[in-house]
Amino acid sequence: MTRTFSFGRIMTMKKTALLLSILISASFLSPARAADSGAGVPQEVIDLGLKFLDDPGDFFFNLHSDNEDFSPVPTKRRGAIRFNFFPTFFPLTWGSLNLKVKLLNADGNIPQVDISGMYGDMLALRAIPSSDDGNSVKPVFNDYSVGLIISRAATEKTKIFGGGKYSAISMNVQLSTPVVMGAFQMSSLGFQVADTFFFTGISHEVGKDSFVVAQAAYGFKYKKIVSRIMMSHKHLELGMDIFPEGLFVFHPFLAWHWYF
Amino acid sequence: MRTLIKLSLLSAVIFASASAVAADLKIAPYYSLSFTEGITVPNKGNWMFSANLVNDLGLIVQPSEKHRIIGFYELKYTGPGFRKQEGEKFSDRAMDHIMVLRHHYNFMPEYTLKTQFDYMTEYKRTGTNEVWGSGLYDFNRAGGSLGLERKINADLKATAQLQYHFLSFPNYTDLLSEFQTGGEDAEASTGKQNHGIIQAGLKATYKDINGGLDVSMLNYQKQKVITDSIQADGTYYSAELQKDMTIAFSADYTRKLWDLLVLTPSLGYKIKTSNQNYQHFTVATSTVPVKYIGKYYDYQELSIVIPVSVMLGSRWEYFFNTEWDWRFYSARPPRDMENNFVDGTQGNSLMIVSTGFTLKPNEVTRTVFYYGYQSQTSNMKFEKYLPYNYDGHSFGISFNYSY
Repeated sequence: MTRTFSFGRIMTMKKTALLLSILISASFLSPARAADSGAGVPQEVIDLGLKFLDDPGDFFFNLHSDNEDFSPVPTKRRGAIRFNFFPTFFPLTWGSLNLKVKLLNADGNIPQVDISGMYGDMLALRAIPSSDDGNSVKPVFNDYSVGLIISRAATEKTKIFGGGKYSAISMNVQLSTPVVMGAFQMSSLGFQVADTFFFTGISHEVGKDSFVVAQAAYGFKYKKIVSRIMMSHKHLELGMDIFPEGLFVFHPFLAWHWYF
Repeated sequence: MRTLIKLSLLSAVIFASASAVAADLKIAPYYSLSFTEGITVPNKGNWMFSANLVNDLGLIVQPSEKHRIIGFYELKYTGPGFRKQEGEKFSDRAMDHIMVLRHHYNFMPEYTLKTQFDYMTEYKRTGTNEVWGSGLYDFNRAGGSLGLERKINADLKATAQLQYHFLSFPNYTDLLSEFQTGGEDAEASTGKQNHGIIQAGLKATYKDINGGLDVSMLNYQKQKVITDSIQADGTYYSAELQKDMTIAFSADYTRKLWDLLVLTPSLGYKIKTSNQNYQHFTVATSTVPVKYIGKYYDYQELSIVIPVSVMLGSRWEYFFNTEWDWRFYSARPPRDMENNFVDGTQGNSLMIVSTGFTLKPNEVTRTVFYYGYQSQTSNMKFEKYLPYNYDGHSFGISFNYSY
């Protein structure tokens, strides 16, 4: 039997393969490819690969959490726009913008109230053209969060905050080359993860526009814990997101923000 | 989304009401987040990453000089790692949600009445195939306590306390019992772990010395006591319900030397008794027991802990902690590697040494770099399910942010 491929179809396959490589590389140690290479692969790496294949949605949800910002707006600012560079935009081409705005200034008995929202998109998926023959499925990717942050000053420099957020990500990508790992085979990457979180945290000013921030969130649906430890400067944010049950417990991140 | 709206409203109400009353009341929020990540390397089995997280949010409200109300919520995650004594695998993990509401009423200058209501839910995963919330050993605990503290003089105070808690295990079922009765007992075996705990305690503090005595009684709702002969219903369970009792003594002493070194040695001694007995089956699929052992769960335990910390300037602290723990069973014979009972009674010995540095770069941050060595020895040599003889190293870093 002879099969014919249109140029667009071939491009789709190549770009999907490229995308797959990016996605798997995103697991930092490339567990699926390592396992494919056969003997000599440490068991821990194989376990990581299997864990990824078992629940890819959880891993991508963790990356999605790296893009979020649910810390309070500094007292003297009105809001902030945040862009997460690593580990989402690089290496995944996963761009995101998080906007948080102060709704209510703290005043005597009234706490500060901020609203925050994030929207993200994976640019590599947009680069995959639709095939002419209509056999391929256009990749679907949705990534957003929204929530409220309520904070109260404990001292001149220290704020304690809490709030709630709704956080969602969904993805549907057909893989042109299935990922095979032992008895597991993955020919598509499709998931939808959404949860409502309750979070609490502390923000401590250590210099002008510089803050140490620590927070923990709990998701009601999946009973998921997400924590963040961060050093925030005038523009640069450096920190770690912590997922105790995640494929990778630590996600170091690097972000840039603009206050207004 | 509805949950989010409810949460946001709830948070707003809590913060707003806390703020609203702040003008008239003494009010102080409290927050603490601790995260520990390390590597655990046992001499048996695989090394593993261990992770622990504790997140506390609290509020202390003092409406008048005589009243103080403390409320807090704690989220705690305990990941894989070494365990103290037996009963859990290194890979087990647990998640706790704890809510506490406490009231202190200083009704006379020397007397303080302490009341507390608390609720806790623990989710437990004994394997990676278990989903959070469906664990066999998940439990809910609800209860409270009533205590009276008396300041006898400037150096001496004493507290008497009475507690009651009820623990329910919504997912628990007796798998062995189900197997033996061909699943007919499945419904009857649910709730077998449910029990109530009555605890009475006395505590005295003299200067830097604390001493305490606690008596706990566990009364199981459905768990029957095992006997040495088969009963009319075809099982080995008698009509008697299981009752456990624990008597615990504890003492500790804090000693500061030259504002540089702090020693806090402590001593604990525990006696546990139970009317529960044990029927031994050689393999899980066996329905005929090969040995009956009475008082199988009774033991005595002695623990000694000696923490030492040395201040190294205003930002650094060095610590060196040593802990010993010995458990001696009254009637439980040890087993060999083939799961056969041998002469004597089982004894476990545990030693933990930990050392490291604590860095305090600002008022709210503490970072701990630690190394630990743990060694357990036992004459119990059957280790197919749980480790009894092992040693191992752990090292890692811990972050704490608190106000």
